[in-house]
Amino acid sequence: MLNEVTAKKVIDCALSLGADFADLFVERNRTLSVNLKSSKVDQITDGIDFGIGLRVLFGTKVLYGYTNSPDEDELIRVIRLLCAPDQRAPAHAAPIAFRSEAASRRSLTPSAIGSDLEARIRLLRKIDELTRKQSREISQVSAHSLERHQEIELFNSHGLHATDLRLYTRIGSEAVATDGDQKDSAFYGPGAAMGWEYAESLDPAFIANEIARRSVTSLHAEPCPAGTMPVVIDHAFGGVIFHEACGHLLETTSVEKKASVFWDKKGELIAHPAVNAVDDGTIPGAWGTLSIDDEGMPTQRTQLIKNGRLENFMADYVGNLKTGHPRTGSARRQSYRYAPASRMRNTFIEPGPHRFEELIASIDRGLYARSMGGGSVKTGTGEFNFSVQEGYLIENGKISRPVKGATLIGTGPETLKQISMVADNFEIMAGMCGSVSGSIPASVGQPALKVDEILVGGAK
Amino acid sequence: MRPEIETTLDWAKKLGADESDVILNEGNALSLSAQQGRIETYKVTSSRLIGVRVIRDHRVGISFSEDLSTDSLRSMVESAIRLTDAVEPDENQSITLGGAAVIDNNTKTYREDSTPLDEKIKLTLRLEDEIKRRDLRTQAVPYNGYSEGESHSFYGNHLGLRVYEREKSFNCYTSALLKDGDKQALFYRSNSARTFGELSPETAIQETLQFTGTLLEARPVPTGKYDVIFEPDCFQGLFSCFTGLFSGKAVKDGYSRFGNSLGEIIAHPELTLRDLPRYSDGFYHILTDAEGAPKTDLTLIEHGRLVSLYHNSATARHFGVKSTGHASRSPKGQLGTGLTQLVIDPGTTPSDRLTAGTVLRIFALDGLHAGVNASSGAFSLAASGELLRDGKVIQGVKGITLSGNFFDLIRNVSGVGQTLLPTTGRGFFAPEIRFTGLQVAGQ
Repeated sequence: MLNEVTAKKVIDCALSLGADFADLFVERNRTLSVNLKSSKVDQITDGIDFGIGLRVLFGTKVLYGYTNSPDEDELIRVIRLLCAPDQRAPAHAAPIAFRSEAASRRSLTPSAIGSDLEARIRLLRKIDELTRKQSREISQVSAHSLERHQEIELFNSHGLHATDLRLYTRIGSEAVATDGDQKDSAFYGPGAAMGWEYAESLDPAFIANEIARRSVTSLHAEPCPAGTMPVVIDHAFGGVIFHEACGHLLETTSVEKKASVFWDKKGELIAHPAVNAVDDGTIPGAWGTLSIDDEGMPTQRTQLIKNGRLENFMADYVGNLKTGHPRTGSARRQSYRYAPASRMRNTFIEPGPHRFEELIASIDRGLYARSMGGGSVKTGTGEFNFSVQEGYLIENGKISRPVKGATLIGTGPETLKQISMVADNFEIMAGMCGSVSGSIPASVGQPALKVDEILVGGAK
Repeated sequence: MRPEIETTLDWAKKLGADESDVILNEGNALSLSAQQGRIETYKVTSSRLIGVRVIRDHRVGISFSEDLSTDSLRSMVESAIRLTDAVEPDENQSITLGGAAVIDNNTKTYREDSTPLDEKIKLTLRLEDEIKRRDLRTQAVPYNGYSEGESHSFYGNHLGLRVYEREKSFNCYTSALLKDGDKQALFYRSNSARTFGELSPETAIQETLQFTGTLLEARPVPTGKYDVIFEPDCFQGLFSCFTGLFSGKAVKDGYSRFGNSLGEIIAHPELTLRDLPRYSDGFYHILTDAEGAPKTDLTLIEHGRLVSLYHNSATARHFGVKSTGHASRSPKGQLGTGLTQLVIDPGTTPSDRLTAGTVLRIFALDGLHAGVNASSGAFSLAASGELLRDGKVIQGVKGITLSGNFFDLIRNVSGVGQTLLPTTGRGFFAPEIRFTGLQVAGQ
């Protein structure tokens, strides 16, 4: 997408102005989305984003700019603009030479995105049809396919030249259930770092059942009681609790500013010994998987917590410079519009020894969070919140009535110590994670967990 | 008008579109942040994006590109035309607005500013330094920064309508992570203006320290029902999660229960809600919507009664009414609806009556993106603020959740204040409103 000669001139220019490091992130995105609503194909959008992000470092100071033009003069103009406030005598004597061995870590050919629109429409229609058949209370269904082919090319002043092709496919579906003037809705959105073949592997009946069950159950559920109680958070998207309560606090993006309660806790016991947690960018096809990160480093599996002890942080290049924690192939960004930052990939708590039923049976009165919504965290204090999309009371060791409007709040350090039982029913699920470098695909996952005590918000 | 607009419209006509319109957005921005007394990030950006909507046999195709070369524009239009084959007809979508060009060079939203970079760097460093200097409990100022940006928006359609609007804005924000023994608190505040000179970093600094100081000493209140007053930014955050319910599009698509409520009382009689796109005290001043239709004032709720939904031309046709000029569309997206500046009229309740007895004043709600269900109206959110008794602050409050239902919230009002308060972004104006009986989970 950008020839090496131009890339070299631009990086050489940055170094000649005294920069310690420079890199270019070239990106072309093809995005196709098909939306079906009210049983009709409502909208199809197709387009291309293209841009180049330019980053220059003076020490640990980050200067960042981007442009839509690959023209050499424009790139040099941006570099000069960025370097102007810090310009100094060059520290690097030798001109850079790119290492060809770093290039083309992945050799996938982009499948013809959108070549068979009928296949996309067929799948969405099937979801719509099957969802409406689940209940007469389903009043609206929307189904949406999103395909993104992201081509990236990276150059840096250490001689790196790498390319990658990333494929993303996600199917998002939402049902609205109505009873008189009462409405409720539910969303389910599986996704993978794969082409359209992923969508073809999905079972539309399963998706239909999920969104219909959740919306109709919630429609008739009573408000959740408020107060502190034990909670079983089920597998898959339940992993958002770890993502929010702990994951963000282990990114050097927070650690480098001491804006994480865990910034000085490496090697210490920060969770119940039952907890083992991982951030893994290598799971084949998983939504947050990468071949190389957005700085060109091969991604890896990073053990974050082992038997409750903090083992590693997630670090990018600048995070490494500022904190000394080793790089983990975790540099990520939404697009060329953002400088990279240390971010999660596929983050999960590893399976434990218990059966799901044992967790439920151990509780006299509590909450079973079958499916979770999203959440957020204040990394500096560890305070998090996340919503329960489908919840049930646990009474006398059994799952009883459905409840709605539940929110779980707490702090990461406290909650990690309250996880006392970990089940064996592990699964991961796609989600979108928003932070300093934009919104990125990230998986969360876990087996079912029992949290002994957590504050549950509800309207009753 | 930009030639890319004309080129794209020409291609659309040549390639068989019955109707077409084009949006071109261009912008540039600068942002700075500081850490440890030095500038940590310095970001300079420029961007451009063009999007075309073509209609052929009542079928809509949308495509976009960041490459404005002639070849790319043609490919973009070809793609949009191709997509119309797969989409079902929508008789309501039609581009019918022609007329004279609307060129907005107004000085309310765009004012020249030649402040040198050094001044901006100085301001950014101050946002960190002042927090540390004024409160020695400061462990870090994790989020701080200065940003400025300008955007230029061009619209054109096959009927000859051309619109140009522009804006320029300046923003600064800071935060404080305070630590005292085992207690920690984090809060941030921002300030926006149309020129660098009008920015008030002092306001952002003072409010950040004030709120963070309150949170540091805060603790949960007992679980129970409370009357609640929201601080303006916080109220805007919550209220905005539900304003889509007043959209003709949400009603048409079956997401809003307000379809059968026009003319009915849906809120407390003292509540009047209006959308004022050119409100004189507001930050915005918008002449046209995304279809080039003139923006006009619109009353949504009058003394508790739902008097109008807001519409674009397609939802208006669906309901057989006139468009209210509330079309929204990005170059990448389909035709939607959107509000501009909401104003809730002041009421008659004096301040001392508003805060009589026990009241929770909430100034932070977390989890708005997840803990709200717009269809059902339910919300359940992490909250912090302070507990008032007869107007006096009794304690700071954090570690609680606040739960309720929007449809009940706007009915269960026991007082509406007499003074209109702006949000920090001056895009939403409301008096203090006392909402009754919200469920709090705490101690």
